[in-house]
Amino acid sequence: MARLRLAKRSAILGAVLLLLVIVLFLGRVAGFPAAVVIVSGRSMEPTLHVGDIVVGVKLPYNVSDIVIWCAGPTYCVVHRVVEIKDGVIVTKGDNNPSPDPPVPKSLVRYKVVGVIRWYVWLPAVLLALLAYAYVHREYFLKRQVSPGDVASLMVVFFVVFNAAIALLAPTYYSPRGGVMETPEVTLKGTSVTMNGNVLINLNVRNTRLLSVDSCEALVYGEKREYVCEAIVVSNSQILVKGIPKSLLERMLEERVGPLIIKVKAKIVFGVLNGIYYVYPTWRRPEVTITNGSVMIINPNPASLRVNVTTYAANRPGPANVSFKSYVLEAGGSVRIDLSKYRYAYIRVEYLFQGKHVIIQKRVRP
Amino acid sequence: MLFSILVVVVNAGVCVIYDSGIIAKPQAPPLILVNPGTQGVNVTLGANNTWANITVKATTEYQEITRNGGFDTSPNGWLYGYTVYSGNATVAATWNQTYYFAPGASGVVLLYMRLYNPSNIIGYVNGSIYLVQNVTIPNTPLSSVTLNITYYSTYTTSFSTLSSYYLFAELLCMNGTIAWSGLQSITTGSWNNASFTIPTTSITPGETYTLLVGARVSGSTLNILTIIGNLTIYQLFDSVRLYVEPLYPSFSGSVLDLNVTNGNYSSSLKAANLTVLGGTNVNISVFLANLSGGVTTSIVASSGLLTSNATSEVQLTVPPLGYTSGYIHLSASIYPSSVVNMPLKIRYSVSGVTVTYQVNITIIDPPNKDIAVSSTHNISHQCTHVRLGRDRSVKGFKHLDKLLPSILENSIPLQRWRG
Repeated sequence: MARLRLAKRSAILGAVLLLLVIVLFLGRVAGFPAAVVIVSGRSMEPTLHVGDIVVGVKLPYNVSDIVIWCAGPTYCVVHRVVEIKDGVIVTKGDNNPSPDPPVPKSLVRYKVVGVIRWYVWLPAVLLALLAYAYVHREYFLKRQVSPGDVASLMVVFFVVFNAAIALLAPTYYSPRGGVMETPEVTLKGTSVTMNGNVLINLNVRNTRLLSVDSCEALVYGEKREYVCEAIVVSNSQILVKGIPKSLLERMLEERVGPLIIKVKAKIVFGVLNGIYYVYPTWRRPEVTITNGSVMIINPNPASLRVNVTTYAANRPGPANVSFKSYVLEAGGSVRIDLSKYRYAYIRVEYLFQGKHVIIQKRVRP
Repeated sequence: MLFSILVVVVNAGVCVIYDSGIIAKPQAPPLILVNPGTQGVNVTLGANNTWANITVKATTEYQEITRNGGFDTSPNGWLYGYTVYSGNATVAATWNQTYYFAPGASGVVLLYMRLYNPSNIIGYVNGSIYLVQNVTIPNTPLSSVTLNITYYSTYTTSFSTLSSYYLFAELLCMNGTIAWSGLQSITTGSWNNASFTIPTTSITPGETYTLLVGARVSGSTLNILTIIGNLTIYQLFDSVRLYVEPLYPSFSGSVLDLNVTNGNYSSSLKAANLTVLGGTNVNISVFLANLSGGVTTSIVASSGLLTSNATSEVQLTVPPLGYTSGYIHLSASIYPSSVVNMPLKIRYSVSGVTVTYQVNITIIDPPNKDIAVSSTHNISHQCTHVRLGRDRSVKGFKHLDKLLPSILENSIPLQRWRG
C-alpha cells in the first residue's frame, strides 16, 4: 500500500515536471502568454549570464527593453531593442560590438520581465533531484521503474543537456574578416604552335580564369582586326585559335609585327582585359643536301613560298634548267631528287623578314 | 673588437658604420615611404623614399575623411568583416577593376556571402558582411557628416527564401559600442547611390571610430538529404566616402604610406617639436596604423602645445597585393590662416640598428596658397607682413621659410603685402 502511494506521488511529481518541461520547451513555440528560456550565450553580459532563466511575457515593448524573438522553433534570441522602425526591430546584445540584423516585428514573442539567475535555480534543481533520487534510492536500486522515474530521468536529461549547452555555447560569432584579395594576372610568355595557334601563358594569383568572351587578332600598326577563338585550357593558359594564316605568313615574309591578341576573359567574378604582344621566333628554312637529294624544311608556324631553280646535267656543258615554286606549310618540307644527274646545282629563293634570300648550293658531285 | 653603432638620420639608405671608420655598407632600405595620393596632401619624397616633406591643406570645405574611398586602384585602407548570427557561411572579398555581372563601375570591391544551414530541415540563416575602416573625426565642431555609398547588390536563392536584405552602416567607438547606425532597404540589380546623414551629435570631434558599411541578410534555407539550400549575396561597392564639413580649417586622413619590402618591423613616430604661426587654437593628433587595423597611441597637440610627443609601436609587415604596410594618419584642426609645422621621425630597427626617417609635416589653411613663395626669395628678410588671404594677415614671422619647406619647393611667385 505504501509502495502504491509512493508510486502515485512519483507519477504526480513526474507529471508536474513534465509540464514544466513543456512550458520550458514549447511555451514560446505554442505561443503561450508567457515562457521561459535559458540564456546560452554571453552576448548579453553583464545583464544576463549563461544559464540564467529569463521570463518572457507577451507585453508591448520599447527601445531599450529586452525581448525574446524567435526565428524558428529552435532559434530564439534574447537581446535588447535598439531601434524600431518600418515593421522591423533591431536588437543588440549588450556585450556585442554590433547590432543583430533587423528582424520583422512579427518574430518578437515576449518582453523579458524577469530573470532567475543560474546560481539560484541550477543548484536548487540539482539538489531537488538529488534529494528525490535519495528518497527513492530503493526503487532505483531494485530497478523498479515507474512513470515518475521516467519523468525524473527526462528532467535530469533536460537540465544536464541545457547546462551543457549553456556552458559550451559560443559567446557569439565574433566579427571575422581580413584583407581583400586582389586578383593579379600577368603575362608569363607567349608562344606560337606549329598549327598557327597562340598559347598565352599567364601568372594567375588570387583568382581563376573562367572563360574567354571575345578574342581579336591584329598586326601591330594595322587597323584591321580579325576575330579569333580563345579557350581557357588551364588556370594559367589561354589558347588562341583561328588566327588568319595570312597574318602569320605576312609576318614571316615581311618585316611586320608583332601580332597583337586582345582577349576579354571572365575571371572569378571579375573581368580580364588582356592585350598581349606575340613575337614568334622566325627561323630561316633549312636547306640540306644528302646523296644528291635536296631537303628544304620550313621550321616556322606559317607557310612559306619558296622558289627553287635547279641546274642539272650528266656531262659538262649545257644544263637542264628547271624552275618550280613550292608553298611549304608550317613545319612542312619538300625533297628534290637530283641524284640521277652527274652534275647538279640548286638555287633556293624566298622572302624572309622583308629580305630576299637566295641560297645556291652544289648538289652533285 | 666590439663595434659601435651610429644611429643616423637616413636620407639615402641604411648605413651601418663601424668604429674602424673604414667600412660603410649601404643597404636598400626595407621600409620605404609612399605618397598616399590623398586629396589636399602634397608629398615630396626624398632619395630612396626615405624622407618626406608633406604639406597638408586644412579646410572648412566639405572633405572626405575615408581613405581610398573610391577603391580606384586597390582595396588599400579597407578590410572586410562578416558576422554570422545563424547558420553557416562561406565568404569571400575581392577587389577588381570591374565585375562582369555589374558593368559600369571601375575599381570595385565585392563582398560575397553564402549562407546555409548545416543541420536543420528548415533553418534560419542570418548574417552580414561589411567593409571596415577606422576613421578619425577632425577635432573641431562639425556642420555636417554624410556617408555616401555607391553600391550594387544582387543575390541568389537555392531552396531558400529571403526575408530581409538591408544596406547598413555603423560608426563604432573604439570600445565597440555603437555611436551611430543607419539602415536602408537594398535596391538590387543596378548601381545605386545611398546617402546617410549622420547627426553631428552622434559623434565626438577628435575621436576615432570604426566605420562599417555592408549588407545584412536573413532568410530560411532547406536542408534535406542532398539538398542543401543556400542564400547568397553579392555586395559590390564602387565607393564608400565619409564626408565632414568642419567649422574650422581641418584635415583628417592619411598623409604618408609606408611599405615594407621584407621582414617585420616595429615602428613608431616621434615629434621633434611643434611650431604654430597664427592662432594657437590648434589641435593635432598623429598616429601610425598598419594594414590590419592596428594603431599606435597618438602624438597629440592641444591648443598649440605638444602634450604627447611620441607614439607607441605598431608592427609593419610586407603587405598583400594591393595594400600598403601602414600609414601615418593626421587629424588636425587649426586656427584660420595659421601655419603649423611638425617635424616627425619614423623609427624602426634593422638588425639592432635604429633607423630614423625624417618627415616634415606642414599644415596650412588653404588661403595660404596665395603666399606660396619662390625658392629664390628669402622671405625672412623681406617680409614683415605676409598676406595670407584676401583679408587675412599674420604679422611678424621672421623664419617662415623654415616653416614652409614644401612650399619653398614650389616655384609659385611670392605675393607680399607691405602695409
